[in-house]
Amino acid sequence: MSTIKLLSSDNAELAVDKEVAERSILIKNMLEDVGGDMSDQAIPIPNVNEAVLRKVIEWCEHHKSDPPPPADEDSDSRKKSTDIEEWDQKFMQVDQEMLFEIILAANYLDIKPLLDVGCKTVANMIKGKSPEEIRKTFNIQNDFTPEEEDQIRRENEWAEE
Amino acid sequence: MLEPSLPQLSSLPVELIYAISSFLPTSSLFSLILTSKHLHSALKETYLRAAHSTFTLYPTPKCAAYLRDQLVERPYYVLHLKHLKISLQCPQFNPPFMKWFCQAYNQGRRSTIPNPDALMKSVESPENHKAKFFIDILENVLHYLDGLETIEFVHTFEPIPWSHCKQCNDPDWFKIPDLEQYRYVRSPLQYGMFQSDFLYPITLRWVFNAVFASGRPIKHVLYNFNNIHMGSRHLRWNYKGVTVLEFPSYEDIMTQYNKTLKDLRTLQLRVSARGMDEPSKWFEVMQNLRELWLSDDYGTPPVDVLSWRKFVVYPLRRDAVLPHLRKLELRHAAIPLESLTSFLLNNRQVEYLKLQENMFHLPPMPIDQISPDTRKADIWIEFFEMLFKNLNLNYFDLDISPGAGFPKTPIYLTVKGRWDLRGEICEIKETRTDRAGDLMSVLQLFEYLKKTVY
Repeated sequence: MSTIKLLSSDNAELAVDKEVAERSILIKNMLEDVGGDMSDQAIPIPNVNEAVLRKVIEWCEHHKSDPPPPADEDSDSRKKSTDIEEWDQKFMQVDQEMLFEIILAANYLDIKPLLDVGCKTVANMIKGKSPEEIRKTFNIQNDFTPEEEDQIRRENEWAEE
Repeated sequence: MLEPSLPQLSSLPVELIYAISSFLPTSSLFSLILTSKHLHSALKETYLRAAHSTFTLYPTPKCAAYLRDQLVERPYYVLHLKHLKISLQCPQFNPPFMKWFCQAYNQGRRSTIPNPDALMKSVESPENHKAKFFIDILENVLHYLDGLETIEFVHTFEPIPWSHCKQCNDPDWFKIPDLEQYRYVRSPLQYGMFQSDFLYPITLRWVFNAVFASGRPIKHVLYNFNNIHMGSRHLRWNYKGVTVLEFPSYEDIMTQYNKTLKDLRTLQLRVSARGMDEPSKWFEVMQNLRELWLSDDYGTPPVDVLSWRKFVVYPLRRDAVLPHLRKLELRHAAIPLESLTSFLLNNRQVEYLKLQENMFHLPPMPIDQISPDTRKADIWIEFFEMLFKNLNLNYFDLDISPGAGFPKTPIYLTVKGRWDLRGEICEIKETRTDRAGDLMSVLQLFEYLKKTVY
């Protein structure tokens, strides 16, 4: 099995199996563009630091045998499930900074299943909470005046779940 | 407190905020847009689309008229309404209930409801009258809903809100809040209301009449019975299926079926075979159907042997050809095994096959030296061989119930993966529980089936 090297934003060089790295569509496409031979040269990943890159590689290693995600021809965003596999739940038990770093890295590296797991984790932290509870959970500054907030509520009081 | 430079929810790129919001129910999305101006601005349109993408319609003319009015007042509905949920329960303020309720109220409160006759009049509306209004309004509404994809029948046993039941000209001095505070109105099931007072199975026919009359194409017909007790005897639907008899000619019916069902991808229905004269023509037009879930009525055991034309559960015919069908699930139906075989051979694209709680009718046994039990095991093995040779299943689930000696105990069989590979592991259980069953290869399954005979 061939190995490639990834260079993080803080200049750490990480060796990783090619098959594992190719969970990233970005890396897969890069390797295809250069004919698959990057054995002597590290691939720069300028948007991701070492700690986050190690986490992403850990996820890719665990999921290296997963089938590719199915093309969703009738995608309806409101029907998406927020179920997360047990291993992924444990994997995502990190502080918020790391959680959002993983989401950003998954987006940059184009790893859709990891991006979904990260987004589901955040969604599960939001579900069932009031606006005030969400602000507290995510340290969001409330910049609405009470009147503005009240107006939004009134405009949408017709809406049903 | 997090450092400002560190990534936070509110500082994520908008496309990632969208991605997170796609996993949120509409109510949580609303809470999220109320947290800050940035999130409100990023997600307001998403929220409005989501909030207008679903509407729950109660089967009353008033509620249908309310939806019609909403289409005018809120053009977002016309643009974004994709999912119409149709509640199957009837108003709790129906005439039998109101008669009983007036008496109970009078006794309990030691006071009388003012003008009970007027109250009764407001809920007494002949069925045909209500049906005509409901169908007419719904047909009219459907003409505008170009984005509608899904019709879902739901049943939660929750009473229909009074506001959706009373007529526009009802006097408002009934002290409705008083009525709604009354425990029998507030929690009718908890306090022993008759479930039949809440069921309105004819709603399905009304809705399909309106859908066919409007010619509105539908992609998914879903039937959500999550909260139903499976043993309920009140869910029968013995009307003439969902055929529409009011059209002037066969050609007109087929034209409307074609308009509405040509692009149907998913069909989930609970239907009854009893009392049916003619198989439906539905399946002649559903050429794009991908997923089919049919269940017979749970009220009575599935013992009726259907003629070969009717096949499994009305209206599925054994000779129906659904060239794109990938997923087939049949429950609680009387299934002649030969008919099922013919159907599967006509539709060789099925990849997911789930057959649960069905009554299988096996072909007649020849009178010979072989014991009937051995013959039955052989018939099942022939059926499996047919699946191996002709289909590329990646999921197969089957119950075989004990019947006339074979098998001795129920067999619950699940095969996941490339089951055309005979070495593929399948799981055999004697009870349908979450506990792991015995694992064996498909070839070993054949031996297992034979062993159950002896």
